[in-house]
Amino acid sequence: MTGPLLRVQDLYVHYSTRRGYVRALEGITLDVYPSETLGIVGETGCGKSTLGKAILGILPPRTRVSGQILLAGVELTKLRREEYRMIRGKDIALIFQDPMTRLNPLMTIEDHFIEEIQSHENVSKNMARERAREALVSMGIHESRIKNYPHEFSGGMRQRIMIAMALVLKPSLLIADEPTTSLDVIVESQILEVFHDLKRGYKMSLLLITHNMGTVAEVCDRVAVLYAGRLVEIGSVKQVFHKPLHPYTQGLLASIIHLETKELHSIEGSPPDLISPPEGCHFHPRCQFAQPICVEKDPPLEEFEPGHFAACHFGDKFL
Amino acid sequence: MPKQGSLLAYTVSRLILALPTLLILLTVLFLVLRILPGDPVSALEAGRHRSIRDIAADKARLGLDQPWWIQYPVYLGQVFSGNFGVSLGSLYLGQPVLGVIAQKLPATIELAIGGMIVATIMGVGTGVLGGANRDKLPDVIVRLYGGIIWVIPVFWLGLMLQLVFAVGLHWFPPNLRYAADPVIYPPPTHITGLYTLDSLLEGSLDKFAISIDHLFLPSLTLGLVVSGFFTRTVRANLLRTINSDYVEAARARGVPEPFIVLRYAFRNALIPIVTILGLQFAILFAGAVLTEKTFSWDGMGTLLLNSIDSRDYAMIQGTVVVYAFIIVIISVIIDVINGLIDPRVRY
Ligand SMILES: Nc1ncnc2c1ncn2[C@@H]1O[C@H](COP(=O)(O)OP(=O)(O)OP(=O)(O)O)[C@@H](O)[C@H]1O
Ligand code: SF4
Ligand SMILES: [Mg+2]
Repeated sequence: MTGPLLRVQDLYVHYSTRRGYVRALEGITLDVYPSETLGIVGETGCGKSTLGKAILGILPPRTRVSGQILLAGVELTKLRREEYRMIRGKDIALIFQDPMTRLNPLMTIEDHFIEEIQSHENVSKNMARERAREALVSMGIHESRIKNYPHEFSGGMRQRIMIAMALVLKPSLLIADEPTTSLDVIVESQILEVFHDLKRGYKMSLLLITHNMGTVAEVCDRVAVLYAGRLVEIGSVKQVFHKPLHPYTQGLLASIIHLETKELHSIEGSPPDLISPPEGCHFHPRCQFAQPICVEKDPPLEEFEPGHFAACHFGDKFL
Repeated sequence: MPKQGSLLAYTVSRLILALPTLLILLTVLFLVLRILPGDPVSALEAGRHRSIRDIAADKARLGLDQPWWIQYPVYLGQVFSGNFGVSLGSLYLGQPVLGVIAQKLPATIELAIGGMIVATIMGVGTGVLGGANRDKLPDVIVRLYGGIIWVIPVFWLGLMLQLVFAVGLHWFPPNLRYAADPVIYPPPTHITGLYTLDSLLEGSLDKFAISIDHLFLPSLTLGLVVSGFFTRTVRANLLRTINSDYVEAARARGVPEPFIVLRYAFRNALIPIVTILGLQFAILFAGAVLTEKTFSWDGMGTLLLNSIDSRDYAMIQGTVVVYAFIIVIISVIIDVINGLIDPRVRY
């Protein structure tokens, strides 16, 4: 295996708020390999979107960030402002969770594309326009709509426009933050198909944020599970789905509706307040296996089988 | 989706929509002037010794002996045909109201434009400065400025500026529209009535300089007072747009920061500001009345105050109607500008 395209090491992100620091990410370490799809799963508020924004370096001012983010060996956090800007959109693209509000209401779709392309490449307006047209058509938007304004499109169409914009510069890493939530099932599978083709076509890597375990099983190579800002488990989809080592992952998998039994398990309780998270294992208030050590000691991320890591004091018991 | 060509239709529809506003304004004015005790003729005749019969004849000539349901349509007819009668006050007695207003209007327009330029530069400048440096020292100063400047009385601010820059430093003349001595310094030939524009049309830079010199302090006074509102609105809107989702998305695409500030944050922040600009003009004209008084500026404001003093009802009515027309027309223009910058407006 070649080296990772993206390496995130010991990443901490603390948002500054009036009530104090929100510990959105607490020491995340993970790699994404070329043409790989890594799924990121976890409950709402566990820090999935924060991870995407941290990689792009677009967190709000006054946010405390530490750790390393390397893209093809280059340490992004040490780049000068302008160098980092050139990477955004060109090498790493991000598709946001909520497409409705992500376009400038005063600019046409074409304006958006031309601006993006010309922010990174020295091409004529006509060339940029041509590429915009291609990208839109490939996402199923008719080219006659290119001069329309964002408010003239439906939510699903805007999502496809955002995807087309993210892909137009052929990024080596695409971070897709629940890219298909506002789309119907047929379009969803079409889009996942498009991602698949791109991965084969020019080895694009995909960081797919989702809370749909079905999607993970279908399209991801590996999966990382976040809980309350921490990475609690990471491994190949096969490993994690067959032998979930962390009780939280077990709960997540159990909460998929079983077609035969029609039963829906859900994890009791709710995630902790990230301003003052619990001591020790963040999951202990909700964990049915919790022992005294879990309250005292924070479990480190350990490798229990090759490539399969989990952060639980009793991970080996579940192996 | 109508795009090109719909602008004219949009403008026309805005104008039609403005008619009810104008009608309400005119009706209120009619009621105020008719219901308030006293009437123009009695006011004019007060102190003079004329027979009841003469007074009654004067009233009949002006239609004031008729009941209101006769007076009202006649009044509307007069207003819309531009016939405001003749002045009843001692100052312009017998002169056509509209003629007098036409003489004074350019001075007020010049002052209003000057004030608006100052207000826009100061308001947008400080608003952007504050919004872009949230909670830092410049922002604190800007917030203080925006809070204080608009409660300062126009009289007082004008007087202070006169004292410092005219009386103290001699940088600017203390008052009047133009040099006091028309023999040594003849004003520019009357073309538009705007001294600055006329002196340029005449090709005389000297006259232009004199006009600007005189225009500066009054514009500054008026503009500063109105700018407080701009400061606060620009700042608040900029804070909103700079934290918006589309700005974050633009950053994620690697759009250079100057474009983000200009095309995304600033342009979007401008829309609500343009909308409320119409209201600002009403405040601007009110402020202009006081500014004119402070700087002996011979415009509509001075005319209005004098007319009130001399109970010149015809002139008061004419002045207020002209103000109303101007404000309505400006609000239509602003709607159209808004339609031009915001694609969501034109449907
Ligand atoms: N700008 C911000 N300022 C303060 N706190 C924030 C900010 N953005 C996110 N947070 C907090 O950080 C935590 C992680 O948020 P994040 O958006 O990354 O969650 P998420 O996993 O993407 O959730 P979801 O599945 O709902 O999208 C949450 O507790 C959230 O409230
Ligand atoms: S460390 Fe303890 S509390 Fe945390 S998941 Fe494992 S068993 Fe549960
Ligand atoms: Mg999210």
